[in-house]
Amino acid sequence: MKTGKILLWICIGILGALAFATIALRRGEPISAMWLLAAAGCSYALGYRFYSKFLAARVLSLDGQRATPAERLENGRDYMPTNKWVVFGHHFAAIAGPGPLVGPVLAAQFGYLPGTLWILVGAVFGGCVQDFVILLFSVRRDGKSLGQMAREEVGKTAGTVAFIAVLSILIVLLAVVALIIVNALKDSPWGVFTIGMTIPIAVLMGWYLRRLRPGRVLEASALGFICVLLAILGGQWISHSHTLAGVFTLSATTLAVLIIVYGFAASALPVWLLLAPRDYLSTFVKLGTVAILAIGIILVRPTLQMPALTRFVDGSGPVFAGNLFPFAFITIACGAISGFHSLISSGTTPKLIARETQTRMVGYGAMMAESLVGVMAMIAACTLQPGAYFAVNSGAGMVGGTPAAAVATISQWGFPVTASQMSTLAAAVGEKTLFFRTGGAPAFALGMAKIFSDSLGGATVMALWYHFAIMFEALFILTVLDAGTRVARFMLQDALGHIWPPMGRTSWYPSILTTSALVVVAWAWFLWQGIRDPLGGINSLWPLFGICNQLLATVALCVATTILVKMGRARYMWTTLAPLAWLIAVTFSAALAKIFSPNPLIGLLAHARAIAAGPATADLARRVFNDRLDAVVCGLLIVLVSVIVVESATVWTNVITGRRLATVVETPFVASKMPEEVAWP
Amino acid sequence: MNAQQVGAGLMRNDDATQVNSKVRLKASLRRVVMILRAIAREVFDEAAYQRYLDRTGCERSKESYRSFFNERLASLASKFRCC
Repeated sequence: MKTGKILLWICIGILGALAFATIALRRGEPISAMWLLAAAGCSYALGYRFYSKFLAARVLSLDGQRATPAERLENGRDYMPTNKWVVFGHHFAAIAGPGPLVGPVLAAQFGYLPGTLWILVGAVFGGCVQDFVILLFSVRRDGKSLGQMAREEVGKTAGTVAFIAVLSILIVLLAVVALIIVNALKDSPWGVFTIGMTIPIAVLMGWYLRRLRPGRVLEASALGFICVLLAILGGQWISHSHTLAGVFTLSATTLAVLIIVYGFAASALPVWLLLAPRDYLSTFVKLGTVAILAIGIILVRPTLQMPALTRFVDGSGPVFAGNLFPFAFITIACGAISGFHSLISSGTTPKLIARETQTRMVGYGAMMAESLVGVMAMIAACTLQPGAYFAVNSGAGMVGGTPAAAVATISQWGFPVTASQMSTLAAAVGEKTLFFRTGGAPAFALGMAKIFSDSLGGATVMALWYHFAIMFEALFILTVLDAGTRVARFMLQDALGHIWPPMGRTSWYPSILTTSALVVVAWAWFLWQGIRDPLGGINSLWPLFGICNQLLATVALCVATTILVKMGRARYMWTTLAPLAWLIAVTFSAALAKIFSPNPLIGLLAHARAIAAGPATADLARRVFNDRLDAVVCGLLIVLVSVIVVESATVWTNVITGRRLATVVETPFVASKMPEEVAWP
Repeated sequence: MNAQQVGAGLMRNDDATQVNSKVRLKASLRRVVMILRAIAREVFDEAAYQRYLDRTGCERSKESYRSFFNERLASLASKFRCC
């Protein structure tokens, strides 16, 4: 390396250290959000330049001369060598979802420090590594899925466990995202109208694409985006109308029923009519909004109002109960490490990679971009006054059932807030109230609206920005909901097809309806439980989702470590084993706490006992049953993942001690005939 | 060569450098726009449809889009969207 470059990297290192020192050591005075961005930028730069290069060169030995499946199996459909930047954008659009926005907002109850550190360290040493190695291993196996790799490299049991883990995470994920939408839209005529309008807008786009201008997706998406903006303006008008506002003011239970019906319809309707156009529209809005948010933060350079650490690190937080360890690490999944990404890294992306060497940029690099989205969400949440943040994000069961009780409780904690301040804030964003809007989406929308209105348009348009942010998140979430329900339906059809072949026919309507209903009932059960939970639902469901997601990452890292060992790279197995060990510690601690903690706010069984011992209510038996079932689901998941961990560890030991031959099931080497870089464009 | 001629030569060199850097900047911007456009076309399946048209020799039409969509149905419907 030349002297100039060495000096440059030393400067980046010093700046990063300074930024970390500032965010970690500054106490009692607000700091600029730019320090978080500086720490993030330097961590990513150093991580990419040095750690990912080490992984690429020493651990994985990327081979630019080896033909990828995109080259060998090119068919113009799934397999297609594609420019690395295009694959990067494609991969990022697939991995970015509502998770990195919601998780950091919820974890902000501990202060900005723990969440930010976890997002940065977790991404550089965990999430990016996972995405990178799984992508490469899939590329070396003709684009095989995580489940197939688990079955072939670890064992049949591992493959089955991976399948169950994926299905479980999907069910819990769908329930959680549905609950976030319900909490964001309840008693909000503006939000309900705007989000409701995205359904006919998607249908209009489907018609435009299929009939009017076939294949002009960008055009249709731009048209859809304009329609959505009009729907936001229409929502404002509706919310001011005396007659129509009442029609669109819906309770949580009504919204839940509507979303359940929608989920079923979206799974059973033709793809072109609703799912595909909504997916395009959502991606269009997503990429645009993330870019605007980044620009907004850089322009405004907001000050963080939340302290670095709050008193809630002891586990008494009102947003969700649980100590900093392990709950901060399962609450923030997608921004740091997310098992879900391993499904995408072993899905469409490996079939587009033109050269093995590009897996570094696509796998490691796209996860860094996702992590940056998580940092921006943390900034958005922490720019709010802490009192307002807690008033929005706390459930009525945690801070008192009325606004007066809530502000008294929150102020008593040292985060002063008044009912009139909250009324003013609600009026500024065009809502009747912002109390008890749990789930993270409204708090993120508030922070984002504040940043946007400070940089574009001022306070007069804060309401528009707020509802734009709500629409953006809800659109994301509905896309996850309908795509997820359909994917879970396909998986279920595939599994049931082994028992009774007709059920495996994906276009057979009785099978479609039965499996769609089974999937929807499964997530609707969790959703309903969340709606009826006086503690806010998110309190119990988000940790369960986090546990599922991180358990899936555990499965992915088990597969990755096994392949490394079988490749004869046991001396480098620490690169995947270290994040794996951390995840096992985190997920198992969290799962055991969720099941057995004596604190009824954390432990599901303790909560069931507390309810049973309390006053008799009509739904007592159901609530006790719900808690016990959640505990069983949680327990079952850790047993399943224990099986895969033990099976993997047995393979490692046998290979390292020479009792088993180290052979990997990868496609034999074929020399690439492609030029150095794929012709552009 | 007198001082005036040297000065004029240097100015011509400066102009040439400026023109070169402008051309380079323009080319870089063009490349960035092309990359963004190509990403958007790939993400939104427009490139996939174009490949389908090239592969089958069909014209852009309702029928060809329908058959392209039907071909892509399985991968579209089972496409994971991350949380």
